[in-house]
Formats: sequence, structure tokens, C-alpha cells
Amino acid sequence: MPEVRTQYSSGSAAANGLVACRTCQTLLDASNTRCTHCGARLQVRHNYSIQHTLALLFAAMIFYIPANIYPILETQFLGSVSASTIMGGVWVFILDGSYFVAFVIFFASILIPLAKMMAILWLCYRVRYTENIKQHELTRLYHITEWIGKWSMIDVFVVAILVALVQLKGLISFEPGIAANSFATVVILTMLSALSFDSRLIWDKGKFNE
Amino acid sequence: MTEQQRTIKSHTTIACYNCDLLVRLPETITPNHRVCCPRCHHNITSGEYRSDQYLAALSLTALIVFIVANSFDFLIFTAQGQDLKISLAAASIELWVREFFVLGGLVMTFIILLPALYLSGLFLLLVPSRWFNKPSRRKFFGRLMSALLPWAMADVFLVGVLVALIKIVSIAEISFGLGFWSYVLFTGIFLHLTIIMDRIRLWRLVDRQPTASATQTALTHPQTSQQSA
Ligand SMILES: [Zn+2]
Ligand SMILES: [Zn+2]
Repeated sequence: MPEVRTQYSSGSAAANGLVACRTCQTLLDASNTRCTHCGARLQVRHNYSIQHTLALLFAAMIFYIPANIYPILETQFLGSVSASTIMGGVWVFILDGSYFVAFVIFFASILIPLAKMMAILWLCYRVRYTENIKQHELTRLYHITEWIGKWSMIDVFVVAILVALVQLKGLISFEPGIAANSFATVVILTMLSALSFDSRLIWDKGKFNE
Repeated sequence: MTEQQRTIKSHTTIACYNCDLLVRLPETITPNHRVCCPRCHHNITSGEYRSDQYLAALSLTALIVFIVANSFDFLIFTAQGQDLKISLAAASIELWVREFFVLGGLVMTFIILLPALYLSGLFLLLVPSRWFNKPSRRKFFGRLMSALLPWAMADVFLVGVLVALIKIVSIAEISFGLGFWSYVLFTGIFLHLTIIMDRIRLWRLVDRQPTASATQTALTHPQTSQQSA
């Protein structure tokens, strides 16, 4: 029997001296550095998972500032140019009475990125600095965070569609603002951040390890 | 016991992707039965064994629909006597031509390239061909498909289209072209297939070639070969 490594959750592959390939699910001895089956790199836990997650998260937070300050879309309508920020876009829909769309954009572009960044921060804090964590709840939080991330791209796609598809000469045309690139960067960085977080760390500590 | 002997090659015992608990998969999984991790309740795989023909037919349909979606008019705008029609592929090229490289690149990668790559990979894995018989090629595609899946955003794009339409509905008359409806259908099939192909099933498909190494695995772990037969 291989020695039981107690820093990992009991019954886990890592505690039994094994490592699971994250790509093809093959179980191998923990001494392997590359999967003998598919060739992917093997790590018992993502190396520096929390550090990478936080680094990407802070980068996302920095880009979040220009993403909200600068205009995301410039509209040329009947010869006059107007620029709107993300929040401005939401406001326009509210004034139009399109409350549902206003809600969708507000949710996707403002609430989700913020909630997601807070959630990742919270996960890192709990896993790194606290004992007796609520594993099922944190796991659920992580999965929601991971799944919902790409939906923030809605606003970027809206800009892309308007810019590429709508160009009626003399009537209306659109150009992307500076914030479009910043916001796309925020979404990609937060997605990378969530992917760097190793959910197995949640289970390596707490009450389930007798 | 040597390191080599401890190596487990079969997929019958796996570590839960979510929490790393060692879980022994049942030898046969009945259709519509889910295998969940007993500790974290993560959905490991489910026993919905669709036939290869079903999956191959669907992925081929999706690929054809995808080509239609890219080459025919996506949306048609009419305002003040002007008619504006553009296809999805032309729209992403338009973004490049006007030097919006980030936007153009995102649209091209996330909504055109990655979903198409995934479906082509799936189709190639399902259809026997001499070129694709090579395990290294199959594994390369398996790795590629596993890695790109979180970045395919066809569904997000469709919601974006609807929001964009609401923004301009008061200015122009809008109608959906064949390209749009094809993309809707494409997205539907794509989502359906990605839900069926969880990690376990994808790699079972990748490993299924009747090559020397696969036969070896089948001999040492008969239950794996039974399921794939
Ligand atoms: Zn592997
Ligand atoms: Zn689990």
C-alpha cells in the first residue's frame, strides 16, 4: 500500500499517491509528470492555484475600471455622434421602457462580473485562510461562477454585431469604444481566473477529513 | 510494489473531477441513470448511450447547418429604402477590415472557430477513417476538444444578437435571414452534443480505435470494451 498523504482529502486519488489526468481521466502514479495516455501535463493539484487565480483576478479588476469609465459604443445617428458607457446603455433601455433588456444587460455586464470577482476572492480566502469550510456550498458557488462567466460576453457581442452589421449610410452606424476591448479583457481574465482555481482544494480541508 | 504496477490504466476507477475522490464506475450504466460523486455530488457521467450513428448524423448536420449559417444572410435591415444584408462570416471579416481586431478576433474565435472545431473533431472521432485511425491524432483532438469547450460561446452570441436587435428595432425594419435560423439550429445541436459528451464519454470515444494499445486495454478490462461495443 502506498503511504497515505494526509494533506489531501481522505479517499482522494492524491491521498492514495495517485494523480488523475485532468484531460483524459486516467489515474496514474503521482510520480508521473506527464500523462502516459494523452500526454497532458499532470499535477496532483494545480501548482500555485490560489496565486494564479488571484493574479488573474487582480488583472481583471484593473481592466474593470476603464471598462466602466470609457464608452463601450459610439453611435452615429443622423449625423450626430453619441457615446455610451455600459451603465449608460442600461439607462437608455430603462428610459425606453425596455425593462427586461435593461435587466439582462445590467445583470450580464455589471452584476455578473462584480459578483464573480467577489465570489473568486471569497473562495480563495476561505480555502487559504480559514478552517472548517462549508464544502458543498463553496463547491456550488464555484460551479456557478465557472458557468456564468461567459455570459458577461453578451455586451461585447452586442457591440460587435452592431458595428459589423448595422451601417446604413447617412442614417446610423456604430463604432466600438475603448471600453469594449477592456470589458472583453475583463471577461476573459475572470474566466481564466476561475479555471485556475482548483476545486479539489475545497475538499482537502474541513470536516470531511477524519 | 513498483511504480508501474500501481498505475491504473482503465477508466473503471476514476478520481472525481471536482473533489478527487476515488470513485469506482459501475460496469454498466443504464440509460438515463446518472453516476454522481458520493462526496460532492458532482455529475460524473450518465448512462445515456446514444449510438454512434446518432451522434455522427447530428454532428454532420450541425456542420452543414454551420456552413449555411456562415454563408447566407444573417440579418436583413431595411430603413429609408436602404437594404442591408450581411452573413456571419462576412461580418467578422468586416470587423477585421475596419481594424477592430479584438472584436473581430473574439467573434471569429468564440462563435465560429471553436464550435466548428469541436464538431469537426467529434465527427472525425465517430467516423472510421484511415487518416484518423492513428491513436496520437485521436488523442490530439481529444485534448483539443476538452480544452476549447469552455470557450465556445454560440449560445451567448445568440442572446447578444437579440439584445442588439432591440437596440435598433425603432430605427430599422429587421428580418432574420436563413443564416440566423441556421445558427440557431447549429447552437441547439451543439449544446445537445456537448451535454451528451461528458469527459468520460469523450475519452471513451477517443480510445475506442481497434489498435494494439486499445485491444490491450480491452483485454485487461473487459467491461470497458463491452460498453463501447
Ligand atoms: Zn491524460
Ligand atoms: Zn466529488
